Amino acid sequence: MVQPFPDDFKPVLETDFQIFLFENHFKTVFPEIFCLFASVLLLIYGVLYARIHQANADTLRRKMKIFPPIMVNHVSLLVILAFLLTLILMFNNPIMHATIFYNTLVCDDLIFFCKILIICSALLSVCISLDYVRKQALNAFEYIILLLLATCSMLFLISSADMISMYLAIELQSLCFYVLAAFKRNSEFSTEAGLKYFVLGAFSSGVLLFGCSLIYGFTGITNFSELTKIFSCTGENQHFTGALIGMIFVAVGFLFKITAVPFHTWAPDVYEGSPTSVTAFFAITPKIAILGLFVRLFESSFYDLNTEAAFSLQLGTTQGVSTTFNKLLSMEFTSTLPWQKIFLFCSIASMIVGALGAMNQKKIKRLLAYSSIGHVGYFLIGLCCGTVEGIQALLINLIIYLVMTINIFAIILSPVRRDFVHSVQRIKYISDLSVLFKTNPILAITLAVNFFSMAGLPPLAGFWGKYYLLFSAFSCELYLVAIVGGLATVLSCVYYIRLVHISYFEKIQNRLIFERVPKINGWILAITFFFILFLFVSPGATRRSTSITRSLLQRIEIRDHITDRHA
Amino acid sequence: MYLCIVLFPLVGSLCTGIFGRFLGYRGAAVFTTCFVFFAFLLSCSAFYEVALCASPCYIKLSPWFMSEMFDAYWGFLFDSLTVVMCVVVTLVSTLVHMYGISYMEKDPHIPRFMCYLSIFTFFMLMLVTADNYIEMFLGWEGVGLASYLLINFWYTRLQANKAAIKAMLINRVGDFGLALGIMGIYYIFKTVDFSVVFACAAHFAANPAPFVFCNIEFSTLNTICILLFIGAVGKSAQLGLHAWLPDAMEGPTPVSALIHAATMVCSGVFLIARCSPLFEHAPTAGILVTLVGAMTCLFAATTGLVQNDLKRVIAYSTCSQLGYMVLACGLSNYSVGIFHLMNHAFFKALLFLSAGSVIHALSDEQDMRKMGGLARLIPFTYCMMCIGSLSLVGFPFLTGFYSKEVILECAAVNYTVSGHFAYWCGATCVLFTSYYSFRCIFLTFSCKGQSSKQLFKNAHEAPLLMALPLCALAFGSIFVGYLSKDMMIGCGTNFWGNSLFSLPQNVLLYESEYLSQIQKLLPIVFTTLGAVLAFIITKRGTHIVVNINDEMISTAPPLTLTQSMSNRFYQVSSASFFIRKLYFFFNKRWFFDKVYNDLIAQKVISFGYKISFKTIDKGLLEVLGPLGVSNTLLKFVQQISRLQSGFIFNYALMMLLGIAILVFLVFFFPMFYPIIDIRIVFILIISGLMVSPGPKGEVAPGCEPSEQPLAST
Repeated sequence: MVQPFPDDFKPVLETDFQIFLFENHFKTVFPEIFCLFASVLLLIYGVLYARIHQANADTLRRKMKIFPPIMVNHVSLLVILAFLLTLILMFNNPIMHATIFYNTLVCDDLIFFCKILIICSALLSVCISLDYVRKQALNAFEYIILLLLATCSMLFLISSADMISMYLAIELQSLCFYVLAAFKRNSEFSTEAGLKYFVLGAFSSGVLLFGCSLIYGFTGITNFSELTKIFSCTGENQHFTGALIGMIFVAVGFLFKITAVPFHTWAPDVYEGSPTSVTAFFAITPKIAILGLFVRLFESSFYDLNTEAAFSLQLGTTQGVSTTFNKLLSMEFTSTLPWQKIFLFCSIASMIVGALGAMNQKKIKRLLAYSSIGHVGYFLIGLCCGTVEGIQALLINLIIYLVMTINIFAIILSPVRRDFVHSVQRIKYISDLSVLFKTNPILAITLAVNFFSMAGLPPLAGFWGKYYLLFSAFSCELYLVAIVGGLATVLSCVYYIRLVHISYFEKIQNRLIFERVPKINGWILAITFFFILFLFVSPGATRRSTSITRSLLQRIEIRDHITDRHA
Repeated sequence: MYLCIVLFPLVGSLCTGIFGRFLGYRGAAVFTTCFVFFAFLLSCSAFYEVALCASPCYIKLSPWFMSEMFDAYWGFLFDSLTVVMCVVVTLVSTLVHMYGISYMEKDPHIPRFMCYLSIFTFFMLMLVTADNYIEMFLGWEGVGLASYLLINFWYTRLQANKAAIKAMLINRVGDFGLALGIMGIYYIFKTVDFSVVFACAAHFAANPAPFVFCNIEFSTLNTICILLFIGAVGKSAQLGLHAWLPDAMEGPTPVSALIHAATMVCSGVFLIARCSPLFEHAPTAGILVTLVGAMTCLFAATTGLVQNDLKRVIAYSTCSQLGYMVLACGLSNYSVGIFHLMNHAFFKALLFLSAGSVIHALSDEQDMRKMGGLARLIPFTYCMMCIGSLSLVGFPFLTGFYSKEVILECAAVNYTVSGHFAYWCGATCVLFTSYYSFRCIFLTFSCKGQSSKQLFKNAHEAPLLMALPLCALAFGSIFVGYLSKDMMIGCGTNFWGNSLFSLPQNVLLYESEYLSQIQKLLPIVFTTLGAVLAFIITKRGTHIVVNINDEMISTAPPLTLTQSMSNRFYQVSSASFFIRKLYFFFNKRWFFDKVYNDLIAQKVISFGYKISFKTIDKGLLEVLGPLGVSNTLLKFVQQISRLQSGFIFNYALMMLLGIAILVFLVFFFPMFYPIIDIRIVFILIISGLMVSPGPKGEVAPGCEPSEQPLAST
């Protein structure tokens, strides 16, 4: 793994590019600041507009019942504009590498990459839900502003370099999410989802905070780069046992947010209960942010955290039952680092539960929830490799997952008319898909290709994602997780292909007609469809795009080099 | 130019196959014929360059399979052997195309027919021009496919379907042997390239590295050669896998002429000749080849004696002649074998096309017993048939004479058991060949007419397009042997260059010059005897071998005889019991089909259905595999989704448990590791999946996984 690097290259562990001028700090986070201001201004605009409208209405028709003005449309468009401007600002930011605000925030290539992904996914999920929000009479502009705010907090989360800033960012994000999940106030499902999410989220936040305080208590440090330094020589030190527990708790706190098994239990309920547009947002955006953070936390800060107790026991293992088979499969849990063990376990469990849980589902959103749990399992494979290849595979997979999920939600969010029941205007049950081929064959083929891609059939995009992940797992000798990954792919094929079967061959049960797909959904569907279908022409493109995270990768190489020297 | 030889038929075929509708009825036929004719002209030019000017041509076109050690190219090899085959194939193919235009005139599917014929020519050329085994195998399978399509050309006929499937299946057996042989070659030589393999053959003969199979050592080269020979047996219809060839006569007559007489069936002989360096170093395989060839020769000739279908007689004659070729190759006289192949292509194509002409004249009547007296009605065809037959029986100074004599002489001077066996089989066959050929001519042309008046009134001579190929082939049947004898099998000829290889001790041509005069004359005596016998038996009208009417009819009526047929020939009931049995035995083709059906096919079918399908596939595997796994998995999944209770405190508990597991993993798992055997864990997991958690009905309605939101929580 260790790449030889020139002798004159200075191994620098902390993020370099220090900037001392205070005003430059604000320049560095200008996109985030713009985002924050935009959300506040939009909120003020919305409140004032509603007020003025109400006052006018009061004066005109005092006796009549007053409806609030329909503001969702233009606020949505403004939010899309804000996202676009943030994106432009992000690209035009003069300072790409910096540690700012006294080591609380940091910018580098990986963070930049993740930020772009986050904004793109938020933008796309707002775009595909425009029609849904309008038709569903979710007449509350706050909803869309909350999305903006949550995205902004995720931008902060990804670039945080300190436990405190990290915690604040994740809390801001979570609070936005609780409200979003419960947004459909007239729906029992939605309120229940919000409540569940809130209670369990509070619990996980407590766990996270407890973990942070343990780490602080045992090391006296909250800064990530300082943690890297202090943990890089823990090999023979027993004093960090508490810090190790702290690390587990921090990991659990975040694993809850990305719905990794066994902390996934809220996900099916919340995904099902919240409005579909919010589900789309939940399914993609937070995962990018937190996995990006994981890369920085666990691939550098906690990388070397190990205790002697665990270490000595590890040496003892080789004298046990030592068949080749046994060694190969149990190596994952004996000769790996503690943080790798956590993610290995969660990865294997997520893949299995994601595959099995989805089989018995009748509602499409629950099914997609389990599907996303399974995908999280695959992401964690890339993470627990701890190599450059693994991280590259993870980032590639994030892009592909983003595209596939946007595609599937764009289909689910396209309007449907039922003959008898007028209240339900979207696909809800899996059996609703049975009309798809008859009423809209182009949508049906898009859906089929997307599901085949999710199932990992070559040569579609999803196959390449899994290919890179499993390949990187094999190359760092994580056989068990790679084998389980392969088997889980086979299992998950069952329900993905069942959906395709339903949409093509099943007898129509519900009299349900797909209406015209909204134009913007159509465009997004077309683009993502072509991406999924034709990625195989040049699968290296995604790989190259992730190579902009060069600086991070260099740092990992340096880290490996140092670790080897220690050993 | 060399590539065009191979490509022209393909172009013709593809154009006709895809655009046949636009080319039209005549257009398609003319188009393909022209392309094949061009290929023939180019072959002639290649023959001049390669064979006469002795400049072989090797073309490595492009890589095909490249996988580590294994590499196969699209390569073309033009040496003397190849160009001889090319000329023969393209010439016969051109003539058959031409003949087919007229013969198939009434058929609405003529573009399809022409397309198949051309694709066959293409694959045959691929086969002969290949420079490695893989490419040759492509051609080999391709001609098999084309043969299937052409036998089944009249796909509405049940007999044609059966014959096509039979040909395909029996050829699969041979192909299996060939494929194993190729794999064996790759295993030993690490390449499939002809030049490398042949160059290394001597080395491996000197340093044997035996195959070990079931703890028994097998000589490498012998095994490989026997496997290759099994391929040849399938394709060249040698004894054992011959059953498809007579049935293949269900196809249109031009097809029989092209595929089942002149070219495709010879590809087995070609394979042996091509692999001559291997066979030379495998003496055991050589003996086997000789014996099988000799036995085929005898078997097919005896069966041909008593067949009543005009085309079947010629088919058995083909089979018998192939036996001669294989026999010659087995005795290491590859050049003689190939020489006979070439000569045989001419007179056998002539015979078949003449037979086609007869059948055409009589409105698709194939039974010889219904013919007779045609010599006056269709004198031209009669002439052609006579030339073909005389050439076939080895009438002095006709084409067949030169090769058949030499084969017999070579067999006679090979002083081994197999050589003597081959010689006596071959010599006896000369008698039989002569008998059935003349019987054929007498029955068809000179006996009294046996059929309805209408049939004879409509009888007509072959039209020009059918006559021209006959003429060309007749000239070939008369002169080719004389012209090319010294070139191909003359003493000390260097015509073949490196393409054929015989160990010096195996060259028999010089020895055969010293054979006694009596032995040399013996075949001619036998030929004459056969002709006389045929004349006596058929002309006298009293068959010795005919007392079979009632018996035959009662056992297998529709196959060979019908009640109406038992008029003249079969009235004499004085034949002895032994002769009757013998007739029956030969007529039923030595009961090969019956043995195959009763002892192999039936058993295999019942095994396939009862054991492998019903018991194993639908029984054991279905229960353990898809059905069992999916059922238990579904139940398992339902149980899992019961975990998703919808209660927050359950969820929180699961999270806490998760934390506990992680802490255990990080801190304590290594401690437990030595006492945990992962294999046992695996077995536990798998058995947990297998053992179903209980039938569906037992789940009480209250315990159904709740997907409804619990608003109260």
